[in-house]
Amino acid sequence: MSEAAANQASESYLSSGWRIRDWLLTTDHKRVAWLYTISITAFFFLGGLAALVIRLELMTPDGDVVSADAYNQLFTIHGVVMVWFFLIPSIPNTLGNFLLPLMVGAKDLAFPKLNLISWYIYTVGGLFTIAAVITSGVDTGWTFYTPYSTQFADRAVVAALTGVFVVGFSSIATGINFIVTTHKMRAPGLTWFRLPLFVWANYATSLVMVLATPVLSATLILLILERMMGIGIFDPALGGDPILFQHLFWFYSHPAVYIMILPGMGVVSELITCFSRKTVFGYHGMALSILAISVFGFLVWGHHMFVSGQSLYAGLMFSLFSFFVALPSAIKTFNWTATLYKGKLIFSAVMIYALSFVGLFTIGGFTGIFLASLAVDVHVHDTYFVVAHFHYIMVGSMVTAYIGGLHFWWPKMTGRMYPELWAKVAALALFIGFNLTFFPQYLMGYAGMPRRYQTYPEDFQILHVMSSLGAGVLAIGYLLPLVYLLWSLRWGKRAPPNPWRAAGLEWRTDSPPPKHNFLEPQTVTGPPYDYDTIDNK
Amino acid sequence: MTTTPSTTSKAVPDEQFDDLTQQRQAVLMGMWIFLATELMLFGGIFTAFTVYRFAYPDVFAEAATHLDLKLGTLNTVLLVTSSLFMALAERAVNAERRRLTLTFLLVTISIGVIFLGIKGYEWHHEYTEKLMPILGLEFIYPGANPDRAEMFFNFYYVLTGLHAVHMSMGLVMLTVLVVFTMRWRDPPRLGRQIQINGLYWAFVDVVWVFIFTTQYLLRA
Amino acid sequence: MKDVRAPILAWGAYLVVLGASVAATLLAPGLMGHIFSLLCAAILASLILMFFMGLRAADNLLRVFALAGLMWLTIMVSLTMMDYISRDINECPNAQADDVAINTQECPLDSARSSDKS
Repeated sequence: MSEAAANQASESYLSSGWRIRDWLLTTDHKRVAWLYTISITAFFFLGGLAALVIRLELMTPDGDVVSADAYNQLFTIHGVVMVWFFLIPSIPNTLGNFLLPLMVGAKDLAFPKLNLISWYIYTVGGLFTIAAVITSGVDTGWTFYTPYSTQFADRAVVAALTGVFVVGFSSIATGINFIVTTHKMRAPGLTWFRLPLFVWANYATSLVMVLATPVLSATLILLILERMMGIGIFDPALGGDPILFQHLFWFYSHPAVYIMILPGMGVVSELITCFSRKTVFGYHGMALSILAISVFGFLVWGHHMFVSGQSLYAGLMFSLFSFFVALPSAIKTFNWTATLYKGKLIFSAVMIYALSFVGLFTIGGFTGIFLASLAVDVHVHDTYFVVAHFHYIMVGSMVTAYIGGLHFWWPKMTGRMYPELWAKVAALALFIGFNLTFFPQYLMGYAGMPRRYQTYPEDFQILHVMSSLGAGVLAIGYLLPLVYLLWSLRWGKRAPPNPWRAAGLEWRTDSPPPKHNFLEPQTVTGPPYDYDTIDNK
Repeated sequence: MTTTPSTTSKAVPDEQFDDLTQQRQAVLMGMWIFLATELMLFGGIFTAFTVYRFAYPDVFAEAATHLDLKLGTLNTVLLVTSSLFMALAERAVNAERRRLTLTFLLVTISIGVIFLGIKGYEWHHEYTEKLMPILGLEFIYPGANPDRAEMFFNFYYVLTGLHAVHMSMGLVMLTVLVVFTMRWRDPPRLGRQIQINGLYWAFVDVVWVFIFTTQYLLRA
Repeated sequence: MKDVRAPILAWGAYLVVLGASVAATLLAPGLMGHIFSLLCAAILASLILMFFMGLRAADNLLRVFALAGLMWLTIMVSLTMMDYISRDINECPNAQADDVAINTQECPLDSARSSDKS
């Protein structure tokens, strides 16, 4: 290799190529990860804005900020944007896209062009849906339940459904890419049980994406056909069963919950082991319970339908299966705790995020057990108890893991360090703000406050006001990183290749990595998370 | 027609792969996973069909007799024959026989087009019989329980329609392959492309087997 | 060209099984004929998978993926049917026991829709 070519190869992936087409037509997984990060952040703050208006409205028992119709549209926007366009693609498509090839020691994903196309599909589909939802005021909620969505809602439901349908293809493309990359592109010596848990988590997530998303596509096709062409598959007048829609919908959408949380578990496993300076406790159990969650996750969808009219027998079975899925989740929680035990803990900002995750996930998981019990669910179904439960998992756990992971790998992605003090402030604001927002919702939900209502009895006001104030603190916790992470791009300290002395192939290359990730082909000779060896060097 | 290995082939893998074997395996695996997603796509609709077939067994069996079994069977035979020629085209390109590959591909495409033609004729026939309850068209069903029978026809049009969409996409890809075969630039690469598209084409046939069986054959 | 016999033989076998399936429908309509036709469909699909899609010669991993797809389909159908075998969808919600027969009593949603159309 000539010297010029060698220099070019060792150049960071960020250093050259700053024309617009170098970014919009890139096939480099690291740059596509950035494209995704930008889109996802925009969607996140849009969905968050809708949530803030909702919380503002709920400061008082009467409807005084927005009309009832606008309130329905607001929670639809919040749900559609957060679920379809933020939570599902969040970790896999940003951190996963950036890190998966690095962690397995590959030059890129198996299908780089497909990866870029998936971003276009995602962004165009997302913008299209949001335009449809906002301009026509779709008020079906993110779930599009029949028969409301097919026979009664008089808005641009078809356009919204089409957008979500299209975005499904981006999920499928990502899933295929990740599975093939994990199977076929691992560095020599990197056996399955030497893979980082983050890779395991993204692999399991991809399996769920690939096997579940097409069913959502089929369901949305049926909805679209019913609305547009009068092909009434769910139409009671033809002997159709609207509850069948819920079966098909939740066959995707329950496993989709694991699409959201599994990558977060992967991230947190990396963070905790690094900042405890200890190998992960029970690595095999961790890896296998990730797989178990992704499989069991397919058997439990009926617990969303306990009061919707499915048979009691099906309800009992789905309740039982739902308890099973708690087992691997509990294994993971215990193992994280056991990893901390006798570790040399470092309370960096990243660690605060990781510990917040474990705490919030435990609360969210336990309340999930309440909801999986048939009798309790009849009492709290469609109340704020459910809202609080899934926000503890989706926001408290998932978003915290995402932001924690973003901090952890920020030096690798950008080559810059972020200001540690500000990061700690943000992490604490997030933890306090989150609990202040959502813990009161458990209380009012148990007391009978139904979800999706704009007005409420005055008895609930104190709890609602606490929740709304918490949302303000939480917003600060989210806006702070946006500010100082952007600041660090220019003024942050330059990052060394491995600022945390962490294990894993991604830390062996430069920060930021060169275009083909590694200058020499990597081989792996030891077990993962070998922190004893690293620290004794 | 040449049987000697082509000297023009560029045996260089795409930049993300180490070698051609890795690339070939990765692409093959990607395609199989994609087919698994297709299976689940049709599977969702078949699940819904199973629910109603179980709930209204007699009405559905009676409604199925209004479909044209002869044309359905003919189409099934045609489709498997096209799959056979696709499989033969794959073997021909691996043997680097350009003209034979081209012939087999063209036969595959022709049979596929005939299939869609017959399907279209069937739809037209059902339209004239007033058995097409879509877009607000009149649905006049001669048997009992016309509303439940309408549900059967809804499934019939969703399944055959979605299948026809897949067939059409397959035909477009096959046409592109014909152009590639005529150019004959990189036969090993073409061989991989024909293999991948052959998988898709055969899978569409598998789906048809189940559409044919559940719609035409489960009759009274 | 190697191995052209196998696909051609598979094609022949396919036609035979298809003929049997259609014959069963015509000669013995009813439950047994239907079960036979569904079995035939499984055989037809396997013939295509094995001989036209190369699953016979494929490595084990690909077979696992093919099987996984099948298994997930089974999960979806069986758990959905778990609800429907224990519930009669002809029954109107909250309807009296004596007006559940098809078409004798309109469900509330039926009337909602028909008034919607008018």
